[in-house]
Amino acid sequence: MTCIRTALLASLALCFAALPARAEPDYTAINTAIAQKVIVPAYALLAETTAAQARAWDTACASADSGQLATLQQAYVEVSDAWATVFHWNFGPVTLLLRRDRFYHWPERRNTIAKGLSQLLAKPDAEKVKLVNFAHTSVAVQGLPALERLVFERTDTLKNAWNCQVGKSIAANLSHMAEDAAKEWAGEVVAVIARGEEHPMYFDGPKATLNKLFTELLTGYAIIKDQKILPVLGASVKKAKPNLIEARRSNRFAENLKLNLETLFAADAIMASYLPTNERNALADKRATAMGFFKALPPLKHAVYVESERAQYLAFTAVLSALRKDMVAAYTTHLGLTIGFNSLDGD
Amino acid sequence: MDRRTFLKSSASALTLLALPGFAQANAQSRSWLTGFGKADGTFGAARIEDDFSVTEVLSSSLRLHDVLVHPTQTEICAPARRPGDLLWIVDKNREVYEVAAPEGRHYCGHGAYAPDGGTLFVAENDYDNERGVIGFYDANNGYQRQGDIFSGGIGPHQLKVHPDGKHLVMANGGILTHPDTGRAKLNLDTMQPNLSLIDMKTHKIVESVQLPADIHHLSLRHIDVTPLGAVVFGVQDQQRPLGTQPMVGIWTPGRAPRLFATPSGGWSIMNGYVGSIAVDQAGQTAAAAAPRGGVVVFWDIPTGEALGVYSAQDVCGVARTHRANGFLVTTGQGDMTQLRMTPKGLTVVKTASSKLQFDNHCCPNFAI
Repeated sequence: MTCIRTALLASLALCFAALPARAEPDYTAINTAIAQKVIVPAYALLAETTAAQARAWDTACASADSGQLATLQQAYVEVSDAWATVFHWNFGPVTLLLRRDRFYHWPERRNTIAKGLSQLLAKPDAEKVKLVNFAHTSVAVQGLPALERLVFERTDTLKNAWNCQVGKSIAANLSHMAEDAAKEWAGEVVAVIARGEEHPMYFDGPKATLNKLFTELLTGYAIIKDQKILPVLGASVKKAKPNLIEARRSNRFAENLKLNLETLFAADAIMASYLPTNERNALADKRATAMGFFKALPPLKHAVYVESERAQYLAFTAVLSALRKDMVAAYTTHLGLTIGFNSLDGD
Repeated sequence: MDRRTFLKSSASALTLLALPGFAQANAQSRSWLTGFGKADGTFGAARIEDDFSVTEVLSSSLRLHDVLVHPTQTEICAPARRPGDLLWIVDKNREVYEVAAPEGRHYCGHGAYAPDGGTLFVAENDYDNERGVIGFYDANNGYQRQGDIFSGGIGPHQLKVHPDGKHLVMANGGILTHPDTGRAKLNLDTMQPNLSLIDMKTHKIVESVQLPADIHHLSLRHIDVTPLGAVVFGVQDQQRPLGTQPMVGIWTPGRAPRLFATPSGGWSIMNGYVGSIAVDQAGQTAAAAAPRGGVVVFWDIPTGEALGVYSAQDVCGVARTHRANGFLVTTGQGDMTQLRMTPKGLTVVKTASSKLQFDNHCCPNFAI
């Protein structure tokens, strides 16, 4: 009997010994990977494209050749695409000095951008558009949505020296903000993350940082659903509001959405690589499903009036919600993250 | 459905899950009410008893925020948080009524009953005109809407009845939102939050104060009022990434607002976001819950000195208990804790857990 008991205890001891201790995930490694592989390259691209856009404005305004408008439109599109890969980050250097709101004031209150731009264009004031002063004017006229109006809506931008100066100032302002954000990210911020330290202005320790990054990913999905799609669809065909479509003047809604998904998926895939195989594969499947739904979407400005096409958009948002829910379940369970009912979305 | 009509809800639209002993509990004055969410994505309001038993009293189609207790009747009101356009009444017969906001308005999750219970004041966003209003409803007549008054600013949030019984205290957060843009904040660069004292009879703004211009981005959102009429306020920082600005202070009408002393660990422990404020029964101690920082910070009201910090993940609900220096705190993870905070230190009286995710606020369910 004693032998049997001893053997049983020994085998149990072996069983426990065989079980790996559940170690805390390497939050620093996850944060560093997201920063180095997703965030830093995205802000570098934003800095690069905004710098190119600022140069294009300098050239176009100097030549006053209306044929340059196509060049400005292309430069705008490249910046817009770059912004679509960082649209959801309300974290780190972009949060300083209201950079995020100044860069991309969207959605806007009623006609704020049009009103602000009209006022600015109506009264030439060289002091007001100097970089140091321009940063303190209304966010509505400082950013990409204001520039979109200048290059895709107005026809007199290059014909009027003051209008051109306003465009140059916006482009310079965007370049300045993007360059500062990119430099901070690539230098000090990513280094602090890689060392697993707290940052005095932007984040606490490694776990809190990953919690924040995760929250921003979830917010990205919420922005797509709650700001980009549902308000446009409205409650019915009669209540549809196609004028609310993001970037409708430059017709970049669909491309923005594609880039939004790709950047969200890129960060999600890094986090998922720290999950058990089953969960990792399940999330990958969900992301593929969401992309499949996206690729089948018809143009939104027409879809809002067609019930079957509205249903496609609603189905797409439902898939995103399901993915979001699965992400919460997987990362709270396996990475020990906490997404608060109040801290994520309180009021 | 006429949105302006006060509706007795159908059973399919709303379900009163249970309201056992509501009146009795009110009389015992040792319970609290709170909004909640569930893991399945549904919302409602619940009553928490002194022994931490939890009873769901209302199921709602929208996420709630604060719960208001009628001062003379066994009746409660729960407005949807922004940009929700419905509020719910549970009356003494345990019937649930739904009140819809007028066209062009949505609720902001807060309101207050007049001391005699005859009028319900509700914070509303008049979003097309980009201004805050306080809607008033006849609580004795089916909550018929009587009209509204200017709240004193943009982004009205929490309001309380001043203990003089003649004024409302309104926290105008200063942040412009519109239902077409979800919960997006549309004016962070120009926001001008304020605290306003409004005469309930004349509807005039008697006094309105702002924080200094260099901290105008601190959105004044949550308040509680001491028995002597001082307003303890909590802010949300809209610009500084880690929230290193002062977060909590006190305003006595007729004077300038005063910020409380920096808590141990610095203001950054609150992570730029105060979710609720409560003053204890004696008016001596103030508590400010900061869910993003996962802390409740306490101050001695007369001196403004920080007393201590209680840590809990996703903590937000905080309300006075019947004891001096006593508070109930609740979390989004379903935790409930009664504690006492005195200059000698923090004492956790008791704690328990629920499956409900408790929302921003909990309020005392004391009888008058």
